[in-house]
Amino acid sequence: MKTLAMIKYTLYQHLHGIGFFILLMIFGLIFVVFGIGLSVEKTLTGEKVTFFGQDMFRNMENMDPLMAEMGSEQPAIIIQFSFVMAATALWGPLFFILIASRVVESMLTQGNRYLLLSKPMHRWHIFLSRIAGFMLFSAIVVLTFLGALWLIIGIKTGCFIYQPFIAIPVILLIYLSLLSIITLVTVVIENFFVAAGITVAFYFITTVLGQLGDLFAENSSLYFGWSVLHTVLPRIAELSNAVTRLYLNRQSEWLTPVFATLLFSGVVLAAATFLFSRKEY
Amino acid sequence: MPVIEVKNLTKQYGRNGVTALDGLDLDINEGEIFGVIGPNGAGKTTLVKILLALIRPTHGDAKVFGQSPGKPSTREKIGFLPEDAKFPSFLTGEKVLRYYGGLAGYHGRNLRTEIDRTLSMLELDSWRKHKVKNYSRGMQQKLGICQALLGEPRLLFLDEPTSGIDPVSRRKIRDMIAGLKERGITVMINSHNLTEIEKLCDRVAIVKEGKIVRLGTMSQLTSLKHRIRFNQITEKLEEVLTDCIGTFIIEDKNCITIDVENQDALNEAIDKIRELKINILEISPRQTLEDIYIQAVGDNEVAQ
Repeated sequence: MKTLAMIKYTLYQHLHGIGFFILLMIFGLIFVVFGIGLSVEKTLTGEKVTFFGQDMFRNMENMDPLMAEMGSEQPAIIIQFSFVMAATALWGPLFFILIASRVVESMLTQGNRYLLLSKPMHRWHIFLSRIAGFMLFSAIVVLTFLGALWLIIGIKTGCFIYQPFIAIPVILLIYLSLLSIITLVTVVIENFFVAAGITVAFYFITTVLGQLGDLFAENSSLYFGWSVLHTVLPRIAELSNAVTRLYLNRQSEWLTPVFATLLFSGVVLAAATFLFSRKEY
Repeated sequence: MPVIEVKNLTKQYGRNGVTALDGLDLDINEGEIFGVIGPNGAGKTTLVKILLALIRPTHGDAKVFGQSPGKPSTREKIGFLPEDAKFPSFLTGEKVLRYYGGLAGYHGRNLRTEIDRTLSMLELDSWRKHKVKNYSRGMQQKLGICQALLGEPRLLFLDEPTSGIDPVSRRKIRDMIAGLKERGITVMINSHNLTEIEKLCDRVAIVKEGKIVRLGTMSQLTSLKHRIRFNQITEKLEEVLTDCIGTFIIEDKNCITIDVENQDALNEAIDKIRELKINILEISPRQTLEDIYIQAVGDNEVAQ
C-alpha cells in the first residue's frame, strides 16, 4: 500500500508538470500528421499506401540501405513506420528524462524530504517506489503513443501490425539507464540543472561511443579504451538499431546490449539507493 | 518508561566542523508536552532530526519508544510537522493527506476516517477540495498538522506549529495540543514563541550551543518570585512574612521580594498582610519564561 501510494503520487507529479503538456502537444502533432497524411489509394494494380501523396514503395531506394533491402518483402507502412520507431527508441527516453528530472529533484527539496523521510518506510523502499513510479509513467506514455499510432495506421491502411510494440521494453530499458544516472547525480549533488545536464551529456556520449568502434584499429590503445567503455556503459545505439532490425523481422544481436544496459542500470541504481539510504538530510 | 531517551548525544557536522549537539542528556515521558527553546543554531532541529533518524549522531545514543528511531516500526508511532513543510501545490488538501496517509500505511475506510477527523479538528473541512496553491500560509501550516496527526501517533514532533497562524486559530491549535495530552500523546514542540511554550508545556529545555542550559517544569524554571511594594515595611510585617513564607529579601525601605512555592502560598501571604491593614502598593508579576530564557542564553543571543 505504501508502495502504491508513492507510485500514484509520482504519476500525479508527472501529469502536472509542464513536460507532460509539451509531450501531449508533440503526440498530438504526430497523430494529426499521420491521421491526415496517411492514405490508401486504389490503383489499377491494387492498393497503394501514400504519405502526403508520396508513394512509399517508390521512394524506397532513397532510404537507408537496410530499409531499401527490406522494401520488397515488407508492407510499405511497416518500413515507413520504422523511422518513427527508431526515433522514439532513440529520443523518447531522453525526453522522458527531462520530464523526470524535475520530479526527482522535488523528492529531495527541503520541506518535502523531511515529510517524506519521517514516514514509516525504509529509505530504499521510498527510493525504489519512486523509480517504479517513473518507469510506470514512461511505460503508460510509450504504450499510449505507440498504441494510438498503431490504431491510426491500422484504421487507415487496414494493416494492424504488432511490430511497433517491440520498441516498448527497449525504450524503457534505455530510460532506466538514464534514470539511474540522473537519480545518482541528484542524490549526490542535489542540483536539478547539473543532474539533467550530466545525464543528457552522458546520453550523447554513450550513443556516439557505441558507433565509434570501427574507427579504431584493433589492438590499438584507443580501441582498448573504447572497448572498456563500450563494455561498461549502456548500449543505447545498439539497442536502437536492434529495435529497427527486430521490427523489420531481421536477425539482430540484442541479448548482449540488453544485458550490458541492465547490468549498468542495476549497479548505478544500487549505488544511488545506497547513498540515498545513508545520506544525512 | 520514557518515550524519548537521549544519552550523551553529540553531533558534529564535518570532521572538525560545527558541534550542533554536545553531550546532551534528556528523557521525555509519556503524555508529556515538552518544549525545546533556544536561539537559532542551538541544536534544536538537530535533536529532532536525530530522533527521526534523518541524521546520525556522532556519539551517544537516542532511543524512541525504547527502539532505534530509524526503524519504520518506531516511526509508525510518530507524527512530524517540519518547520518549512511544503506540500505539492497541484494537489487538493484531501489528496495531500491521502498521499501522506498512504505512506504511513493507511488506506481505504481507515484513511478516509482519519482524513475527516484531522480536517475537522483543524477546521479545514471546507477547504479539503481546494488545491494547496490556493491555501494561505496558515492553512498550509494547519494542513501540516493534519498530516502529522494522521493515525493518531503516540509521539508528535511539532516544529513551530503556530507560525503564520492567526491568533484565534493559534488558540484553537493550543487547545488541540492540550487535548492530545489528555489522550496520553507525547508532544515535543520546538518554538520561538515563548508565550505559547509557557502556556502549553509541562517541561521545557533551554538549549544553547548544543547543551541544555535549563531544564524543568514551568514552576521550577520560573520560580514564583514576587516583588511586593508597600508604603512602609514595619516590624509586624516582617514577623508575618517570616511566619508564612520563611525567608524574604528586603530590597529597600518599601520593597520586599518573596519567593513562594506556588500560587496558594502567595495568596496566603497576601491575606495575612491585608489582615494587618498594610497597604500593598504593587505586586510585580512572577518571572516569565522570557526572563529565564534571556538569562540563560544571554542578551547577545536574544538580540540576534
